Amino acid sequence: MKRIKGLPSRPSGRPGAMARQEFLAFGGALLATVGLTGEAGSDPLPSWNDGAAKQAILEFVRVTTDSSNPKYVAPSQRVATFDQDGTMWVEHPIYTQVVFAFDRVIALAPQHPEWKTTEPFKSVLSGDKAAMAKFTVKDFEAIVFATHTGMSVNAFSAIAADWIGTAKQPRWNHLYTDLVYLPMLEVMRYLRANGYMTYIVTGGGQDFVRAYSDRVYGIPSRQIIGSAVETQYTYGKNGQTVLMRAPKLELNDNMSGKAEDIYLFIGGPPQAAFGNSTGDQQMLEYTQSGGGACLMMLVLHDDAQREYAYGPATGLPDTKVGTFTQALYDEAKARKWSVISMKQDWKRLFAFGS
Amino acid sequence: MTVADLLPSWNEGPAKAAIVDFVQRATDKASPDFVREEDRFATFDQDGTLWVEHPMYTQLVFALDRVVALAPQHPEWKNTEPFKSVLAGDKAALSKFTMKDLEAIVMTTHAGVTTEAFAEIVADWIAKARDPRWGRPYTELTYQPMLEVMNYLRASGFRVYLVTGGGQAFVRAFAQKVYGVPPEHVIGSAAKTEYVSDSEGRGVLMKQPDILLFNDVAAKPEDIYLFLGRRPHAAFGNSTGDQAMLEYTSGNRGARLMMLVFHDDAAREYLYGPATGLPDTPFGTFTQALYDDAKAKGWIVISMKNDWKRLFAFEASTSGRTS
Repeated sequence: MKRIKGLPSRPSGRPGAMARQEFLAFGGALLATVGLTGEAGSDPLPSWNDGAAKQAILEFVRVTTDSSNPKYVAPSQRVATFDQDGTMWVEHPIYTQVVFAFDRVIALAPQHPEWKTTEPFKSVLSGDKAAMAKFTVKDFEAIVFATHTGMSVNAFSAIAADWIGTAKQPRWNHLYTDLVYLPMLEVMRYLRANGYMTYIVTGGGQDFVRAYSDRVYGIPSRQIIGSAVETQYTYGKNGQTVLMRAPKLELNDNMSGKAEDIYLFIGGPPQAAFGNSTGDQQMLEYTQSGGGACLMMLVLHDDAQREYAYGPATGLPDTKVGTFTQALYDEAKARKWSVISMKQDWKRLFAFGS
Repeated sequence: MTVADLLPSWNEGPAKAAIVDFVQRATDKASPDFVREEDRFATFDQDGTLWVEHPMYTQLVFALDRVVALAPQHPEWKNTEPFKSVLAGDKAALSKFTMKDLEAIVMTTHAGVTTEAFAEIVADWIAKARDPRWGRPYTELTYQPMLEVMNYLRASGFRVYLVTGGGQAFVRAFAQKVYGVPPEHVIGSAAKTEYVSDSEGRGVLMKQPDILLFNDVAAKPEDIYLFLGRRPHAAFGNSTGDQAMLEYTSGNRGARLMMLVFHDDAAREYLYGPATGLPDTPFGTFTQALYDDAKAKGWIVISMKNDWKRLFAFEASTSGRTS
């Protein structure tokens, strides 16, 4: 279906969505609790410097929640999607879930004596950083399947929750969940307070993120979209029903997969999407395709001092982890997406310190 | 509001009592079976549980109608089975279609369009198509007692999901209007989609002739987990395709409710099992084994004939009891 130019955009491709009163009521309650509306001087985004990025967020919420505005968005259509790695929390020097997978290889090694002589496990066990830096997608797949499958979904959740509750990032010596960007948490809360449903849409593992999403982001399991392995419904020793994680990828939630999985879970494009790399390009394009008022934002890591500097957009160092190409940067400018400069736009990065 | 007001189309009996008792146990903080509001999920099969599925699934009628509508663009169908029999209206041949034939028809008629275009095609069809027995839109053949259960559960803090072997995209086209269920609460069989840029640079999703999720039998709990990340506390079905979903629900902690609609009402709807000696059927098979399993595990079998005062909203409220 092609849209005819000059006609008002369809508010969204989500078929038949109408009032979601439970959600409105919840949003209203939250609004009252945190006092985000009305009062002069209350800033819903205190960790943001004044600038184009902050203004874009405030303006988007203003026009989409004002019923007299032509860009008003009905509450049932208010959906915002957030990438995780590099958008919600630190992804350098390597993705947190990869650290988890390596730690699991070490923890499981006693049960797998053959790993001492089998790649890619051998390099992980010997701490061979040069070899690990050269791991292929296939190597990572072997590690992820060996560490993330073969157990029940409940057992995996417990393992992930246990690890994330104790593992620390070496540079800051803080829990990985402390390395969540406070400015982005404020955006999530601000959107929810204005009736938006917030989703995580991550290339990382759906169940890994589910293990802490409620506590860290205030987002329940059903609003976590991510890469997923197949599960198999079967019976445990005592005849109890159990879902076992199988070594087969069901959803690869990256690039085009993000748009496809958003449709699978939500039924149409969101109104707002936040990312930081080429893996998020299609999610932002898909968001814009919904028409009407929409907000597309990309975090640019241009802050070597407080965090990391990588692109290679705008001449920043290249990286394999969270690549932000010049082509993506140019597309963002051409399509009027907002690029968030970590250095310029964020007053502070994390809730700890000040 | 009293419970009687919330379930007016149900006769008094063990089925209605089980629903009321479940909601009370789940929502009473003093109850040992109390369920926190954020954990209150209820899942409903669609075909045969929420609306009429005989003489065949509504989505199959849609697919056959689409074959006829698309025939001018496919001259080869005149000589190719299974399309040839559909176009010729050969009911004897249609009744012998294999799963492979039906799959070919569904894949062909449900693919090659954007998700947006497909939603419009379905919405257009469902508004116009009529079930021949009642002469009414298929969406009016939703069971009023079940709509009442959905409303009652929502009023009690439950999130209500559809978990259908039918097509997710098909059901989403009318789920909000008919069931009050928003698109993100519809779990169903799903084709793969492929993200492409259209001529105006818009990102659109094309439906592919490949299955991503076949949401039936064991896949129902698997997909419930994919979407919800947890077990429901209540599940409603009517056939062997729902057995695993009910089992999975029964494995939860706290209040649980597992119910199966039994089509034992030839006068007001249809009669099929083959459980308890009713006629066998390929659409919504309720085997004796499922019936025995339900009895053994304390799942509630809803007798359409005895438990439902009326079936449809358009009917007068009359009791189905024969006594």
